[in-house]
Amino acid sequence: MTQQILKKERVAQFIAELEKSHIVYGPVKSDSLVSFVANPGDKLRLDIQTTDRSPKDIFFPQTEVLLTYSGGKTEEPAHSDKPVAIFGTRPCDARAFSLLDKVFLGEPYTDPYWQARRNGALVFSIGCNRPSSTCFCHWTGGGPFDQQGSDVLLTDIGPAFVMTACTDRGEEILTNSKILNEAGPDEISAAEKLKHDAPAQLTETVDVTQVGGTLEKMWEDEFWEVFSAKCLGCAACAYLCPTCHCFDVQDEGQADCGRRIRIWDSCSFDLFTKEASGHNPRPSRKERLRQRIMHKFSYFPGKFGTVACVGCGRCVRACPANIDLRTILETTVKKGPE
Amino acid sequence: MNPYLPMPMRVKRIIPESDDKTLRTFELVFVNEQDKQKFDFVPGQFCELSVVGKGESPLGIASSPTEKDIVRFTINRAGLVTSALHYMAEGDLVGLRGPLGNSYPVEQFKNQNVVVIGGGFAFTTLRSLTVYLLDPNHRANIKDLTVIYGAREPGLLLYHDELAEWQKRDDLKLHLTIDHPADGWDNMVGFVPTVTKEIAPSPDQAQVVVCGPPIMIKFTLPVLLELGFAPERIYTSLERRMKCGIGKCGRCNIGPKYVCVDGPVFSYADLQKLPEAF
Repeated sequence: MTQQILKKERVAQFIAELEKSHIVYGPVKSDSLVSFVANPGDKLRLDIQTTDRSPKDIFFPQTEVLLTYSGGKTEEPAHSDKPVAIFGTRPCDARAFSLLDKVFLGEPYTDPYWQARRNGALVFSIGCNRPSSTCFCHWTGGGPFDQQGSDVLLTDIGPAFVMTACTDRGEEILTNSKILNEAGPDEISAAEKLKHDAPAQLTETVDVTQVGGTLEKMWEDEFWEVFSAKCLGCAACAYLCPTCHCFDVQDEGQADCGRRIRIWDSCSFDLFTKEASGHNPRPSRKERLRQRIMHKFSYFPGKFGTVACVGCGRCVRACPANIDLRTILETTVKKGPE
Repeated sequence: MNPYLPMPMRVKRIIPESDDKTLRTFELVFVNEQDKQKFDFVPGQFCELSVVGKGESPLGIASSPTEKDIVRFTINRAGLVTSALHYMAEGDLVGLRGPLGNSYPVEQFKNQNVVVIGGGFAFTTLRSLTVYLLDPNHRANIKDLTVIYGAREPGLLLYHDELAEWQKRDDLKLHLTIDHPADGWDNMVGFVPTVTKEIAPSPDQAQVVVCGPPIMIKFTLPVLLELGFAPERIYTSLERRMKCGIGKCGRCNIGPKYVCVDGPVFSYADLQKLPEAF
């Protein structure tokens, strides 16, 4: 596990070096919202913890062209040969990439669009020294310095970042870069202290990784009525969620020329499951909210062995009806077997 | 291979199926020879059929793998894509992805009596299965073959000519029924669950496949259990709104199971474990 120092004044230089071989994305504030953009330049903001938008759209764009058609012929869109590097994601979002890999790269079909963007991608995450009040990564199996999904984990020690390699590819970058300095014992111990102190600032842990069985038993519980009564069905939670990945497929254009696209969609919407006959197997917000929670905390773990939530807290912050996912989960855990 | 890319197909023949003109069978042929060579399926599987500019629609394959060179779909005009398909003419191009999903467990039918129960225009994949089982290469592998098929009225039964031929065969027991008496109808009258109870197919060394509108399935299943069929020997095919058809887009699940990749065929034993199946 190689550790190196990146002095803050050399961040731009490090990114410029990275840009020779990668398309670099980083958090940028624009119109009061922070999201990840390509070539962030001097607008790069590494001080913001949870960005407003998650970085999932770097690998899974909100609108993606699946194919174009013209005069009876269909064609696949071309992908850039240059791999992606994300600089300044947080451990929760990096962990979300590894969860979405299970969906898009899993059996029996590999998603070629996700795969093309993930190929050769590098993820540089910054550990969270001061997790915010809506953070609950520690409930979902993650943590403020979790390494899952990151190639390099950075710890902000003030004047510099301590960089820790998490994968072989991260190791390679840290070993070969001429811009980095060797990490001294003081810097390493400063980073260790921050890592050690961060969890104390989080709320008490409620383990939600094993809540699936209880949720299954609560299928008919009145609890769903209670929580869904507030839900507006706006899907802000799903659009901001780093692990929500449901999509719609639509055609745009005329019969002779146009494109087939996929666009983000959400199980919160009535039309999501409404059939051409008019029948809807999830007719009300109750069934739709239940689907969202069951998918993340029961179905996904059943299939992939891990909950589809990283505890970033975006849904908690964004919900216009103040529905707090943590309350739903806490209530469930309390109803579960002692 | 990109599973989102459709194969080009040409509409060879369009056959109106129902008196009310909402059902048409489309016989498609492959534009590319290599697509034809690769296309290998088992009855019960489905495809995503597409019209450029309109979108895709998941449809069960109505032809049998034993019918070489063509793929058939019987399409109910309901939404955007199926309406566009209904306006197509012979010679037009459509897109096809598939075959997708699992299939009827034809391997398990060996040396068994097979009962096929269908209702309305859901008979498509059951036609595929029946034609497959009647094929000279497959018929000897199973024992008795019984088909019970019902529709609201005679004009809504699919595949009229074929049904007439099947009625003449001695290696297939065909029972046709309509909901209410009609002039000129000399077959059975009554809803599929009731008729199934009357015919009372034996559960002895038998497997049953039932497919139709949800309400029909819901009332036929208890009849089959009453007749002595074990839930593991009862199969049905389910439908949900679908997009990708390959287990990614996240909408067709019933509990933890995705209809597109874990189904569309489920045993009743499987369904008993799932919430909200019907």
